[in-house]
Amino acid sequence: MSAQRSQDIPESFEERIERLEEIVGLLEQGEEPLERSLVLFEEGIRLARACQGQIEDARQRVEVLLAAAEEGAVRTEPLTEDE
Amino acid sequence: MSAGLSGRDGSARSGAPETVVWSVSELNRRVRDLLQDTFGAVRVEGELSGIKYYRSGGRERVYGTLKDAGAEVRIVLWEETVAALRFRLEDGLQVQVLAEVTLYPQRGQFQLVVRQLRPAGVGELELAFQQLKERLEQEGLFAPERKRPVPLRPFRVGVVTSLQAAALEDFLQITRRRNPALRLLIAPARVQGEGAAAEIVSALEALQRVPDLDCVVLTRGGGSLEDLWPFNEEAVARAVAACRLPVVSAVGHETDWTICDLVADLRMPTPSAAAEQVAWLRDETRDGISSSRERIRRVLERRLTELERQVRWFGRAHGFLRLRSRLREAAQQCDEAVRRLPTGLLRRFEQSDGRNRESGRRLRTAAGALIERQGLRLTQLERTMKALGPTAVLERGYAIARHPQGGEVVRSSRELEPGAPLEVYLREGRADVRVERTGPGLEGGREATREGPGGSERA
Repeated sequence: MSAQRSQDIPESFEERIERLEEIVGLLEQGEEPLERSLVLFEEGIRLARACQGQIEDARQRVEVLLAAAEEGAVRTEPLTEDE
Repeated sequence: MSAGLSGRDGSARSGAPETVVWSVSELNRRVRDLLQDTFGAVRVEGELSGIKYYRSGGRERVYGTLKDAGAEVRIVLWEETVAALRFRLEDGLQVQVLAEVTLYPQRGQFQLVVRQLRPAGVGELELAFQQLKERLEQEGLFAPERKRPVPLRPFRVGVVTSLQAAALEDFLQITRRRNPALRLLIAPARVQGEGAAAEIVSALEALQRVPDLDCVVLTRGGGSLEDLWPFNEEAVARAVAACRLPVVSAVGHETDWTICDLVADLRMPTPSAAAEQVAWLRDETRDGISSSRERIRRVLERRLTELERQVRWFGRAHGFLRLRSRLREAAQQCDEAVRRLPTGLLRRFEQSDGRNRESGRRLRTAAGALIERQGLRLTQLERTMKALGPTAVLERGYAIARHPQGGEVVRSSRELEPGAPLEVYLREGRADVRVERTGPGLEGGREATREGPGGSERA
């Protein structure tokens, strides 16, 4: 069964969500052969986990851009709000 | 004034006017002075024509004509006057000028040196807006096919606005409420007044050097056309068009459309609406992912049940094999019976009258048909068995694991202990193996390790 391993999951959250939805669709149509389905199950579960991880890990931060050099060196500081 | 020409200048031209001989230069200078002294600055309204821009040293002068139905006058705008204009001078434009009446001595040409110029009947900002809009539209900068999709679920968003803007506060409040996972990077820029456009452009450029931004929002709250003006300047429009990231523009109120809005990939009517656009609802998305996962799990379960049903055939195969051997026995008995017929019963039929001979032949035919039917049934059973049975599953590359004693099919790793023997049936042949260790299967959520907290109870 490992012969047909699913390819690496996409990088962006957006693509992951799209692929996940696509997989759910494919599986629910039930037209995929069993072996292909198992590969899809595996990929779907991995995608769902990765997406959930991405969402949970991120914490909102508001920063102010101080400088962005050509070489991509970026300096920021947290936004201080007078509340 | 009427006597102004005589007696005003030096001794050389004293005497009767007709006897005085002037140089052309002198005359023109005198007429120029006279015009300037007489009129000073005047306001004149008319239509522009023959407008020509001359560029030198990075600055521009304009020459042209101001006319009405019956007359025309040459006009000139020096560099500082042109630089202060917010719109382009075009032929046919009705304008009101504040100008000095003068004469260009070298050519003896009567002309107006324009100090201020504004469109007649329409505001200069409205005019500038219309002009830039038309020009950029012709260049195709507003074309729908240029619009890039703004990510539905960005994680890091750049915001160009003023830290003092009221819009920012709303923006932050809304994003915080909707999506605690969203990271915002503010590139501060003044959003109104002199120099604001240049700051907006450089903030936009700086954000493009930040490596992991998903999109950029340009925003400020409502204000007068004058307040919003930086967002109607060409430099900002060009910077938005050239931005490598998708740009969301949210400037002013719902009814305010700026050039920046038109060029941006997405225009939102207000800063709050822009906040709602980029701050996707985190919890909603999370529920969506959970539900996808749940749906996948349900389908997996259904397919596994189906698989189990097929595997159950394998367990019944013993019964099937017994049936098959019974049929074979029966067939053999028939064969023997028929073979015996000629020597015993059949010969006796043949020896008797024709009617009996006929019965013997029919008996033989009937026995043959019986055998044929049984054989056919056997083949059909075999075919069904192949289609529904484990062979079909094995054919696709699956293996079936059974306990060697008893031969039950193993369905869960909970049934296994390290070291336990197993029979593994493949498409071809079988392997006797031992368990090394057990662990979660394809769907990790349903872990079945013996050591696992839930596993030991069920084992």
